[in-house]
Amino acid sequence: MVKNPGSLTLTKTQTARTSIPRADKGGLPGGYGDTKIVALPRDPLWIYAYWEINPKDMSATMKKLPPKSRDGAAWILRVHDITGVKFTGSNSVTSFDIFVAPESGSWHINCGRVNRVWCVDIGLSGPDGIFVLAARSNAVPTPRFGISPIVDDKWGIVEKDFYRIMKLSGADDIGAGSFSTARLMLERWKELMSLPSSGTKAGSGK
Amino acid sequence: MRIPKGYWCPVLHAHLPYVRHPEYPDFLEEDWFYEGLTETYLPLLAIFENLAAEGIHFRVTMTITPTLAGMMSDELLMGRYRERLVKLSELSLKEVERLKDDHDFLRTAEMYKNILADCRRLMDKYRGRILAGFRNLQDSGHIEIITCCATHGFLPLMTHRDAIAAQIRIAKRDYKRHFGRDPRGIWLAECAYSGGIEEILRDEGIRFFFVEAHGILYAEPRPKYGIFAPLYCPGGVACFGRDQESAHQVWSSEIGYPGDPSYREFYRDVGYDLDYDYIKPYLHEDGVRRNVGIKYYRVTGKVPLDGKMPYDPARAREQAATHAGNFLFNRTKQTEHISSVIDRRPIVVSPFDAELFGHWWFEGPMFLDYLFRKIHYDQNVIKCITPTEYLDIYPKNQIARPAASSWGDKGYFEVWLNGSNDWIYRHLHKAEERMTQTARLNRQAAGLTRRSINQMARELMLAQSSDWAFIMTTGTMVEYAMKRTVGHIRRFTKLYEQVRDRSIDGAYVAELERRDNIFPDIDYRAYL
Repeated sequence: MVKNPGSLTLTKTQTARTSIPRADKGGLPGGYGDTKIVALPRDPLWIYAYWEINPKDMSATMKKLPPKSRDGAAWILRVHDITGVKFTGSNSVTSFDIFVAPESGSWHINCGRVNRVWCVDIGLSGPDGIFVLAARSNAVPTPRFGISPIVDDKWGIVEKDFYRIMKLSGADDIGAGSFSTARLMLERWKELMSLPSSGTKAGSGK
Repeated sequence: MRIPKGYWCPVLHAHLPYVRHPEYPDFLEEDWFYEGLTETYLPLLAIFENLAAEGIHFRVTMTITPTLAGMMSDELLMGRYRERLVKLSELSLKEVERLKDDHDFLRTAEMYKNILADCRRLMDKYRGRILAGFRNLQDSGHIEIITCCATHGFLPLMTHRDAIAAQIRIAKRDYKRHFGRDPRGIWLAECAYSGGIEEILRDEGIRFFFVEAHGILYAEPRPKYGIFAPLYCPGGVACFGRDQESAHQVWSSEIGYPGDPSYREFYRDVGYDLDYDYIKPYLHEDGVRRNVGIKYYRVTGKVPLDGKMPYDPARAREQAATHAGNFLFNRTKQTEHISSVIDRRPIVVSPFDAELFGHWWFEGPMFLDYLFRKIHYDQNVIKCITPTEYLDIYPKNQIARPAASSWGDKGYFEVWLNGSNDWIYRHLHKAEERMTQTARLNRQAAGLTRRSINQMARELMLAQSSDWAFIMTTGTMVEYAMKRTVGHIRRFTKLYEQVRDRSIDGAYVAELERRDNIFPDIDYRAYL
């Protein structure tokens, strides 16, 4: 049976995974002069965020911190769980921080819980805990994980029969049965190449 | 036929990214399309036509994606294909002559000669416009052609609703151009769904789409029938779930059919085996040895390529028939089992990449041929059906919200969003934003401005093809995928700046229209 939704623990603070800014991909710009952060869903646990803060807004954000807080201030992603709330910036269900280099530009975030809606702030955090926002992302619901506890009265079914149908539907193999042609053939090619004396000689006949 | 106990809905997803390079006389990646025609699309067309002519009941739901349909109706590409077919036929004749005294290989050489002759016959029959053949089969009710996102864009990773809607609208319009009516269903690229897409489908009059099994199983509220009946999304669009069991039976590298020892070995090709001077005229202009499509060996077993045994067409055909019987046996058992648990006749939906049949699994088309014949003649438990026909039988279905999902590895979006390809999204999203903004600021553009904005839409859509992100993940042909992504975004940006600054270079627009000519009657107002 599938894992129990929400059974995974919440990580309070994540350490920054160094990421080189991906400027100049074949001549594409590193940024567009915007100040923004965008969050995308990857799977039930992970989201991806990319951002850009233009130099003017970067220094403006720093200036918003009280002078005594500027020394030792660090850029962070503040990841808010905003499930079921109309988010105002301070009413999230819970949140956790990730220290980032602002120029790193993007992050894959393990949110630690499933079936939630997330919003990511980027800003400066002073040593005294004061946080100044530079940009706020869109709300991003992660893909739903696990069988819904909600039962439709009009389409009711005996619990035992329901789980039988789930099993017949492949509930035990979710994510395992999704092969693509390319992947299958790549696996076959790797297998062939791993065998001794593989590869044919040019001009060997048929 | 008696009333069956359930229905089987085979779905073939025929798709290739739009690869067309008029700037080069000979371009390697165009081979994907030419090989697909010879090995998959034309053989499938031939089989479906024969089944229909013989009065055998069969149903196939088939995506012909707008990019593939665009290539199938492109004069340059079809002209190049015809030239290639002539050359390959010439090689096949030379091979029959070369091997006339070689008992082990002659039958296989003759097989290729016949296959290529059949391709030429179909090309002549439809004067190169083979979409007409598929359209005929749809008009006669044998197959149901569905559409796909215009350029196979991965919808859940788009941030602008108008950009998602444009992928659907332009696909729908293009479908009508090719098939003479509106599409009833859609295959969302990579079977990728997230909440809200169904509203756009509803607005565009699309009745059904498909999701991976857990898209249904994790729906809210619980799906009473699992994947064996469609759900209606709250807006009324039907959603069908992919069956894992039948997919696994074909796909699995352990128990799947394509790896059978009797079947043709994909990786051993005369492009590598034969004397260089003999094969050189059939290689690309650079003269590098590559596959040409004629292969004389069978899988044999877990042996290296030089240990492969000669292919025996009769033995392979026999095995394809056996596998078709095995597949049918399992579907009937599956259906009998399910129908004993649920209070309606179930539908089992089996989507596959069409290119599996023929291109990767050479015997795949004959497997399908045997399978449809056996379903027709040998049993009464299952019947082939399309989603539209099933919805006609069962118009009342449970309402629920499917879960976000895809048919990629692990079932979500990671294949298209990971460290190898995540960098593309900031550029794609910026282009989406600029495209929408430009469309809004120029609602009634005319003349050169209109052509420029239309071309912006083409460039953005071509950059959005999920194929590029997928290729970056798989690690093969990455350079080409990056080149395409970057190239289209750069062209888009240049056009955007020209429109914004009112300094359009007519020659530049004309050159892009010549090169990236997909969707000849595109209307950028699809973004409004």
